[in-house]
Amino acid sequence: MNLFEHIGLYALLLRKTFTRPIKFSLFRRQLVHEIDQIGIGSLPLVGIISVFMGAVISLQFAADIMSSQLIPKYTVGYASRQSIIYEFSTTVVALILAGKVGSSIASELGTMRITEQIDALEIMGINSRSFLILPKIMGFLFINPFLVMISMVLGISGAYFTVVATGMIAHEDFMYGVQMDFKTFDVIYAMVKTVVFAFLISSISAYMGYNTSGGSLEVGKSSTQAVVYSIFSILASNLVITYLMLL
Amino acid sequence: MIEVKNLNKSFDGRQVLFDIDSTFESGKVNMVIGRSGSGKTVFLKCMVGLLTPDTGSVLYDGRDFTAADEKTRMMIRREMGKVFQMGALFDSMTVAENVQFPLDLFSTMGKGEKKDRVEFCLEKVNLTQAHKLYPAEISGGMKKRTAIARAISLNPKYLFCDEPNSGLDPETSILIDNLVSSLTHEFNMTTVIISHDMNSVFEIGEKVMFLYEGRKVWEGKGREIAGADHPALREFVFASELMKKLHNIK
Ligand SMILES: Nc1ncnc2c1ncn2[C@@H]1O[C@H](COP(=O)(O)OP(=O)(O)OP(=O)(O)O)[C@@H](O)[C@H]1O
Ligand SMILES: [Mg+2]
Repeated sequence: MNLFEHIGLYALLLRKTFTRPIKFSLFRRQLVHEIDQIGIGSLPLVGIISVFMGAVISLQFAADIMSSQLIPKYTVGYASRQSIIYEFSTTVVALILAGKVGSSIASELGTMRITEQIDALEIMGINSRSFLILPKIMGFLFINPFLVMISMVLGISGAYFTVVATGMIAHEDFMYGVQMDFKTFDVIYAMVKTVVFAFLISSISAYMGYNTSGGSLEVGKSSTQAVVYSIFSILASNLVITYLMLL
Repeated sequence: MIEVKNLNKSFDGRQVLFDIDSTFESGKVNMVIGRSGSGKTVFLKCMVGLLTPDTGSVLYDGRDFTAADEKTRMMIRREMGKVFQMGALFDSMTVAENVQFPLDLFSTMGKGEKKDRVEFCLEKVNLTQAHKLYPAEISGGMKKRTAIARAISLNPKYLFCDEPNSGLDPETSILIDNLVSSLTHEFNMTTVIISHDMNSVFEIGEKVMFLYEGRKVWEGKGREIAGADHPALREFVFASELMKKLHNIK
């Protein structure tokens, strides 16, 4: 299959996915389950990565700025904040979640496919796409902004503790920089990215998993492809969104 | 009643089913038999629409299923129960939850009623000790029985079983046969069973269709099968020494 056929089938899958659930009580239960799996399940990973990323970013800025007489010290706070909000907590976290969440969605659906669990749903007269995929997409769309906001807070905290605790930058300088020239629009830009990335990861991975055929080997392949395509789509859409929103 | 008309199916140019015509009456146990690879599973999947036949149609009580739109197909499917060859249990749910699942989605029963129904179905398949276990924690035969309980939980009008008693001991196997047979008569279901088990064919097969290399070569009552004259069918029926001996005694 070529790329265009894939895109066509992907669009078709999405159309069938976004239909009314049969029973809302059941849908709500599934949604809570997905939010728990994806959200709470990814929190430790996202947390650790964010703290360390913030720490390293601030060190890199501090190292450059310390050696310069012209750039004021508060720039470390400002630059750390901007790069965390703009790129690290949104795109880098999304790339990592593409690996974690994407592969788990694809392998779960792939396994259900090859063990005929999806066929069993269809035989009961259930729209299996809507039943299985909708809660995953909605759950991830809902929880990813929270994950990203937590990542931002932890990232900036990591930066603060690294450069302030070691005495490289004074508390006042850092705080001044972090608050300087703060634009709400930057957060909106970050949130738009967050929602788009969550949609891309969950829907592309669901597509790859749902269309698995064969055996356990193919489940592995689908989940690898899910990660690869999710990553490409994140990189491409990141470029487009940034061009459209920041320029 | 289910009517199959002129059904053909091929995969990538390799034809698997050839011009199959048949009628499966309600209130009767219909069986499809044949060697491994003869196309039984593919035939059943074409009937229920999991595979799309190249040509031909399947009619459920006069309603054309193959030509129907998505919505109509979904409505007809809610009247079906199917036992898959490998069980196809939902592995994120326990045995009891698997059986309750169709009730949760499509019944208007209250909590207590559902519980009673689950209990009733699991009792029918002689599985009363495994409610809280997950599919990964039960044996192959128990999976089969759970799958049967799930298939009958909504009292389907059409019941399909792909080798319901393969992998079961003779005693449980007969129990399942009798269960399916009595449910079929009691609720006037149209039952289609794929089987390898000659004992089942003799005991409960009210109508038997023999598939040979994708073609229907014999059709008749289960009890008539020993007297059938098609060579491939005779070979199939009398494959075991025991059957040959029984035949000679007769
Ligand atoms: N998805 C598929 N793609 C290609 N060929 C297939 C597919 N499914 C089945 N076949 C082929 O169709 C033929 C019939 O297979 P089928 O599964 O119907 O056999 P069966 O009669 O159910 O055998 P068994 O008793 O072993 O279950 C086989 O030759 C098989 O290779
Ligand atoms: Mg088979």
